[in-house]
Amino acid sequence: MPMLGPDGREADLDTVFVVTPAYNEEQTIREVLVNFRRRAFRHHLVVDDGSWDDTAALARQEGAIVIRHAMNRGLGAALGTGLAAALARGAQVIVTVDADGQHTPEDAFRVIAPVLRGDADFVVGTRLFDSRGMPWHRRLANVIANLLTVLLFGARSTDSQSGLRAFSRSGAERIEIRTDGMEVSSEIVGESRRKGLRCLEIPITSIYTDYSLSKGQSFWTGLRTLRKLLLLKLEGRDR
Amino acid sequence: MRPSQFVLGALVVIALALTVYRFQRRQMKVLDMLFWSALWTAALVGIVFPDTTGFVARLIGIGRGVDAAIYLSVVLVFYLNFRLYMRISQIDTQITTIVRHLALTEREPRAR
Repeated sequence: MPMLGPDGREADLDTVFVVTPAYNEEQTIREVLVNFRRRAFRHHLVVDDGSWDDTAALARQEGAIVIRHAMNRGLGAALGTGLAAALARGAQVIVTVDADGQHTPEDAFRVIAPVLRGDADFVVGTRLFDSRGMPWHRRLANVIANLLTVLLFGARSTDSQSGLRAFSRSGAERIEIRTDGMEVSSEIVGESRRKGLRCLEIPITSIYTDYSLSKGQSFWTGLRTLRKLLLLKLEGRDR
Repeated sequence: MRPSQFVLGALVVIALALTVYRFQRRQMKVLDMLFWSALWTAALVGIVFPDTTGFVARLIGIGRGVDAAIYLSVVLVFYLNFRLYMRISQIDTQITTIVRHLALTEREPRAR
């Protein structure tokens, strides 16, 4: 069983795929790719969700595998495509990382470690164990989102909206993503519980910059996500 | 016949004609045609013979015919709105399926 150092040198990362959904992220995508490659993550798959800026070209320059959506379909759609593409390339472990630079390779190691050891099929990197640096309105929004995830999906989570997640191959194969937008985060947490995946939460630190805050869910997109989650429940599409 | 009856009646007749026209041009399915035709015909009967709405109102226990018509319309609008939402969300899912399929089958140029 390989032991993971934070530098990742001892880890076997050959079958680990980093999946990053990106929509107009030319400001940060390069830095994210470089950071992860430096820490020995060899396979980085960027799902360019119909960006009109240079995200795809920059990602290719940095050696990422780029999958392009012909038009913008939303976070959920991009994650679904990313998981499918990584599985098709033989990934044994998949880690999803945001394109805005808020996740560090060190935290990615933390979330994939239990999956590599075979202890878990789905790991969420949760920000709330250490919420320093998280603005109060974000914290409040997270509390509401977690509450809704429990009410609608019956899944308890301390940070249902986290973008840093790790899947084992069988975990990724079993999870079905049906939503297109931001509501996917709650859906994945709910799916993992319903499919009986072995789930874990691992504390991570998030780097909040003005840029990453502008990219996250605002109050209004939060409301839209809430409406979609309610309708998803109403339609029974979450079953 | 009052002017309001005439105007509303004319509008409903146009809607009915459009329904039949679209069905004839195969732009509408049989079930949809039947649904809309029944709806417009009922509206027409209610407009031309307002007393019938009073009968319906008594039947479902609402005082006046006009009130019954408004209540039923609101319920109908909600139902149609929901049906429209379901349809759009279905189309959304289909678009994502197509976009994903195209993305996954596209041959990617590799930089390195």
